[in-house]
Amino acid sequence: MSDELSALGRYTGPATLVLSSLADGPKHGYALTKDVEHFAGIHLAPGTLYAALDRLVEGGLIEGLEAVGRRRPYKITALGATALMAHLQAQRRVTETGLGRLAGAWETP
Amino acid sequence: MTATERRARRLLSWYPRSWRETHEEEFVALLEDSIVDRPFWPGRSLNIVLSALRVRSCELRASHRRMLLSSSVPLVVLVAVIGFATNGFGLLSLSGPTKGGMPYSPPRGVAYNKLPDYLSVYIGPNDIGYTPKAYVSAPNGPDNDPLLGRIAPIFASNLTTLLGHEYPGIGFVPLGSSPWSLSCTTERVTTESAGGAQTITTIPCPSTTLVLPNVVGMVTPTAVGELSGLGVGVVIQNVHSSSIPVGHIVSTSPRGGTSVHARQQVIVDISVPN
Repeated sequence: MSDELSALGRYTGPATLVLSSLADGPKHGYALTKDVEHFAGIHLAPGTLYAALDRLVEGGLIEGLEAVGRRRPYKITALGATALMAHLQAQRRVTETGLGRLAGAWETP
Repeated sequence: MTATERRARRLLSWYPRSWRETHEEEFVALLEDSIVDRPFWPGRSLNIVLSALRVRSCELRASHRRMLLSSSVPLVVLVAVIGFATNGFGLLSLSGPTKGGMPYSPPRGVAYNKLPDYLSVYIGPNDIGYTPKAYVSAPNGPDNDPLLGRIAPIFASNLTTLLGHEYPGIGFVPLGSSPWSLSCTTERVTTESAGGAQTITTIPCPSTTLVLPNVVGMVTPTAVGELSGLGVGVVIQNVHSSSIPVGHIVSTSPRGGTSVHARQQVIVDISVPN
């Protein structure tokens, strides 16, 4: 896999969660963590979240909007949407292959 | 400030200043929400500290690369002297990349926590030759280091490079810490007249007062050379100025035109980049 998200190394996971969360509209840090918690069951710690945000901004995959009060919403860019799409489709092939082979050889619980 | 906000800001301070400048408020807001939402989350603080340190180490690496490209030989010597004088080429410490309140990136191998926060540049009245020499000393490092306070010669023509550009902490001077004593001993001269009588003449310190020239706006080496030539002790301080270009003199204390003692310390404010 050579998409932009995989290139983020240890931040691929958090970055995928962040982009997935932003895919339906801009969110600020706290809304983002709550959203990720809701759809993935993962608590993104603040340090990790901002490390991922920094890298995504740097790569042009998201952009910071004008702060609302103290909170700054982030928005996914077209480049970010393309990268997320590519990454998730690659992931889907892995997921489907894995699940398919499991279904063939192992009994699902 | 609420207890939660204090806690959030304390955690934030692990991040380098440049990062805080862009993220401070939004990050504090997020932390406050997070703390209110999940008061007991032992991993959170550790996660923030580790993330902050990662940001710092990235920054150090980046600025080290910049430094390699732009460093000059005297600076390398200076930093080597400071690194040695303040005991140790050890590991980089975890504390922040600022010196004298300004961002500073030490070269690899210099024990960052051993570097003094403030450096003074002194131009000694007796050390002015064709090329004025300045001296750099490290006044506030660890006490037990025998090399501390030794001075390393730096040519004044390099001062503008040293001041503010490569080692921004330089030139913030704790007042009154000049290695040059301001005392001046009077000299007794005995002369014998033809009749055998002795006359004892007391010669005061040479030209006890002089009028300080106005050097505001001059480029640093010229101004420092002029002042030092008069015999006054020159102490350089870095200041930020919107009107005076970098490397030029913003003001002096006392001001030009003032009558000063010939060996008096004159503080010279030099404009450095913001």
